[in-house]
Amino acid sequence: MTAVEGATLPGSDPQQGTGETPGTQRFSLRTRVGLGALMLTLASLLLLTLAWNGLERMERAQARAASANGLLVAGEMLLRTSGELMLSQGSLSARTGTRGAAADTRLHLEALTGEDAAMAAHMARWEAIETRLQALLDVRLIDVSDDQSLILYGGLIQGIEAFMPLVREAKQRADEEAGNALNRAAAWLVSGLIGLTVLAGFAGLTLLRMLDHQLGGDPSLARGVAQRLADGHLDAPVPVSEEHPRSVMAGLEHMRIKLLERRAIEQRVQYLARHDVLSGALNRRSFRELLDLSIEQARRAREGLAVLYIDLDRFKAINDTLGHAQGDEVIRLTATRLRHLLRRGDHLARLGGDEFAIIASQITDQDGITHLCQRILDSVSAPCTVGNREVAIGASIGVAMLDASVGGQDDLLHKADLAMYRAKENGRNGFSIYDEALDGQLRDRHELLLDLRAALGKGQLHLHYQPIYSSQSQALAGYEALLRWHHPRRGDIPPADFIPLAEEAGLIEAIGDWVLLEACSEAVRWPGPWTLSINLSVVQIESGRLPRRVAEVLARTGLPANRLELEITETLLMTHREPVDSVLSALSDLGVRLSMDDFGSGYSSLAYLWQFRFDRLKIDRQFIEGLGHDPRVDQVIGAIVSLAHGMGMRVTAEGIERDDQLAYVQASCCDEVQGFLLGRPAPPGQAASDRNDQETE
Amino acid sequence: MPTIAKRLSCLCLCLISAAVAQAGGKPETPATLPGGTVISVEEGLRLLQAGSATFIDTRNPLNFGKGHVPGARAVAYREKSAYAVDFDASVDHFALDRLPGDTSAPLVFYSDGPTGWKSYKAAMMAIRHGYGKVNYMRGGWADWRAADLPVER
Repeated sequence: MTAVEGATLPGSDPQQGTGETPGTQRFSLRTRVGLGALMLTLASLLLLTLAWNGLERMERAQARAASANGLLVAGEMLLRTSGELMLSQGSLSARTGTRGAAADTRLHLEALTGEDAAMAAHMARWEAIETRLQALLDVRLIDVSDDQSLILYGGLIQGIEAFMPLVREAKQRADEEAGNALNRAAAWLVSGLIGLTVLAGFAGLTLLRMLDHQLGGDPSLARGVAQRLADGHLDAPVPVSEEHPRSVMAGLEHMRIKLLERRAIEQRVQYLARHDVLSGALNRRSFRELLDLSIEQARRAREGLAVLYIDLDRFKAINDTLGHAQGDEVIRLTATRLRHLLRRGDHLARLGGDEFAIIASQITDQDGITHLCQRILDSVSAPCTVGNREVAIGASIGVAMLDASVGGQDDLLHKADLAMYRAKENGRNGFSIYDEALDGQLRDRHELLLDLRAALGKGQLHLHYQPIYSSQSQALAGYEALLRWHHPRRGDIPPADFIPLAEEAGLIEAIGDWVLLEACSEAVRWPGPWTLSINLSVVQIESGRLPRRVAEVLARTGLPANRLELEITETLLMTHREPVDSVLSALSDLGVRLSMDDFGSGYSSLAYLWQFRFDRLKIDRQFIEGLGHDPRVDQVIGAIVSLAHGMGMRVTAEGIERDDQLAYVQASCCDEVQGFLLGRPAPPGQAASDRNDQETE
Repeated sequence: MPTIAKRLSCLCLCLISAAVAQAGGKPETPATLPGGTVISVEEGLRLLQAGSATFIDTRNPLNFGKGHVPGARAVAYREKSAYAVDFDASVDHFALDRLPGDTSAPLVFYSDGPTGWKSYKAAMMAIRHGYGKVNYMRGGWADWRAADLPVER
């Protein structure tokens, strides 16, 4: 029978098999076996009860037969003892015997009578006999020659003789009944045994069928399949017989599918553990693992190996302006582009936000790597459309190649990092391959950084003051404080070399604070109310602490706010809008003057000049240098001055080194002038003596 | 006990001998009775139903005890004489004094049956003693029982 038949004819035939009918499918094998055992037990109990009942009936019938037999014996005994009674002339022993026999008879008769109507009638007859016996016994002198005795004896004998056939008949009936009961009990027992045997056989067969069904008809097959699954061979399907759709084999097949699913999930999890979800590239951890392996392989095979660090340029700007979703899209796109450039055996990883790395194996020479880098730059910087907007992405690549000098993975990565740093320094969208020179350069830089950290505490930082004069009157108008670092071994180091370093190392705020306090303290001691100019760093303004700090220093030193002039470079305004706005407003509110440094070097919006009420513009020195060589420069300076004056600002020309420059800026109506021609930056003491010299002149 | 055993065997012998006599060569009584009337059991029944006659059972009292004609008197005839019409009455014993005193009263004698000489002899003795209405129910107990007539036990 198939499952289909079972399904189309639900419960049509109760004999239908063990597990296929829908009715029985609701029960588990265990339940079915349990129910079967219960029914078998009940059937056995029923048969046992019937057999027991038969045995009890048999026992009762046998007891009756025994009573009937006893009755017969007692009756015959009574006959004999009554004869003895007569012959012994009523002797005591005969009387006792007679009475005993009579009592026995009565006893057995009573035992037999019970529910038997016929025996009840016999009882009545017996009572008549007893009366006669009593009458005989009542005779004082029983004797065979005595008529009375004889008559009574005769009556008694007659009664007993008439009674005995009845007794015999009753005995026969009881015997027959006992025999029948015995036969019946035996029949019950035998049929019970046969029934139990049949049931046990049926149960055994059913159990076998169920087992067969469970095992799909072949136990060794199931064992083999289970072994195969246990060994992890999950590809071939388990042969599930159509006849046994709910067998162990079906269970094994189910298990196999579950295991397959689980294996897929595990593979997915492993993939996720090893890959970056967004780009599909390897993640940092698996990148490092793989790099270890690749280094080992490359060394063994004496092949070249290169690590490329790729950093997207201006990714932060894209993220900020277009949103993270678009930023993600750029990352995905870049990863795809990079992946297309890989050869077999190369690996792409994403190490962080906009940072990718490539392990390029079998690299033979620098030409190959140069070629690869160029292709990467071309591919990545190709214009793309993200979120309906055309976006230009650039990248900086740092390359480190495996050679004998490379210590290990960390060393190789460090070198790639250094190369990348240089690539960025050299301008964006370029690449740099690590070499020894770079190493030295950067090591130098590292040492310098360490020294700078110590410089502040060791008093190696100093302030020099460069005088600023009124353009027309040549009178001293103020000083610009300029930071100097006297390195014990390297000598004086220009700010352009160590200020970016300090910014990068997070030292600039501490240094800026020190400059502010030091310069203000110095300015207070000056004999005249000259202006103090101090340059600000981008970092100082970004932190937002500056206005409070300035207020503190002014309060502490007692320098009037209007004597302090803070210089901000023009480029700062271009790149850092938000924090600059509020900081500049706060500084303005303090009464501090603001000066725009290097005006003309960037692309300032005139709106800023107006918005923040800059008090002064400092014309970029490149214009001053160009004076006298390029007539357009002359015009530009004139335009700047008239513009500034028109907006109520003063103008300083810095970098005046020649007399013709001074003459020109004086002619252009610049308000103040500054430069080596007029006064070099000098330590505070020298500045004071210079001042005195000038005064005495 | 030897005496009891002896007496018992004697009793048994008695009973057996009676049976043997009945079956064997014991002679039948005469079909007529001089001075009396021989009647059948049917006639005896009519007399019994009329209630006029006294039935005298001459058999051994033991047999009387076993069963007899209703209302019959047990007057055993102790017989030692021969089974013949000219029997010697002096060796036998029959208690005539236990018969009704009125000699005109009708009597019916019976014993075992046609071979029952006891009733014949007793009837003879009663006739000789002067009883005028002596009936000898010759069929006796055997015929009475065979005819399935009323029995007193």
